[in-house]
Amino acid sequence: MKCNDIQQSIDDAIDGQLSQAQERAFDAHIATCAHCRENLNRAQALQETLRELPVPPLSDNFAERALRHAAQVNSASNRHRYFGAGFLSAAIAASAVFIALFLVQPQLFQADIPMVSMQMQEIRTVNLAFNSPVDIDAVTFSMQLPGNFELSGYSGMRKVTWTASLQKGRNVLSLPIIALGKGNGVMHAQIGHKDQIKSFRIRLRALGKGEINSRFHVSIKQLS
Amino acid sequence: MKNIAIFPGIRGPKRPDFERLIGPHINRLYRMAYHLCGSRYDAEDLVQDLLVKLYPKHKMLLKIDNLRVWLGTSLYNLFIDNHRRYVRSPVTLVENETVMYESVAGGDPTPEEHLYRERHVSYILNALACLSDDQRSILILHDVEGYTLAEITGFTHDPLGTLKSRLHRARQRLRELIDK
Repeated sequence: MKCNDIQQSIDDAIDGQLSQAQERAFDAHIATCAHCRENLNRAQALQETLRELPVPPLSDNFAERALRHAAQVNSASNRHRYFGAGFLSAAIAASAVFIALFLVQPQLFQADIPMVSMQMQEIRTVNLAFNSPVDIDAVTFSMQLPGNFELSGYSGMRKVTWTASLQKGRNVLSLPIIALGKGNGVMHAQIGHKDQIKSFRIRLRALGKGEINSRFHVSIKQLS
Repeated sequence: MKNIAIFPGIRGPKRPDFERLIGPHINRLYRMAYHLCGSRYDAEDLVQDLLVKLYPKHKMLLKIDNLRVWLGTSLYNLFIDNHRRYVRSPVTLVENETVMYESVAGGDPTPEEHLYRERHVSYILNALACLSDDQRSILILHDVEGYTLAEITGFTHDPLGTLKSRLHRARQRLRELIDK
């Protein structure tokens, strides 16, 4: 086998798809060619990393909540069938589902919005990371903050909107947020490009003097 | 604590049975969903939506031989059918890398190994995000999640030869992007 043949056969070798004769020829070449051996090692290392790609841990009690949610939604859907057709009955069923979800699992709407805590008058930098497959111009960012928070440097402005570009790969947006007074609120953010808009929310919590910041989440919830 | 049902008397599959059947697969489904969607929250939404869809089909699920492949196919199809909802737009949001990640690999790495691994993984994740949808999907299904090409024909309904070529090109492209 020549180096070019080895290059074409690396995937089959990694996947154990070479015939015995091909495998012998492949191994014989690898044993004598440092360049091909290096390529094979790198390809194998990449495969190993792909097999072991890490993922962020599931949110607390996700399995339990998700299974309970599936049971509740389907129980409410069954109730809808007994109401029969018609706009009014559909509206009743929809509100019944909402009530059922809210009353039985009130945490469902709150648990998946990330929260950032900070001391009053402290500037806390919240980093939002974006992965872009291509360079993109004219991406619109819009941030709306609750009453007792503002972006440092934008005093008195509840809503800040600007346009920027994203580079291919990883982009980090650093938001210096300052809490003007004690209390909680929700920051609403939108990122838009042409006709696509992504929205997300972050809960902000301003701690009083002496309170301890016990949680710090930086992961982002996207709303559909 | 007892959860009180709002609509008592409505019959459906017993939750413990469904939980026993599907519970062991949730972590694996989430992992696959994460790699398809690119964010934890979209991945959790996708898995949750799948459970809602499967809950009424409890009796049918009991008859399936290879639940692992069947569930993977269902998750993949749900992702494809609701593509716009589950991200993968030109702008995606990702977790901050300083948040702890659970690695599948066992053992405690040294600080140097940990830093190298974080950077290496970061390059690979960025490169995966730059692939076409088809190429990323085949890599996720085959190289990350470990489905065979024969199993993947059931996911995508593409011929085996097409999938093999696509996998080869996807791996080549990934290597080129990482080398850059």
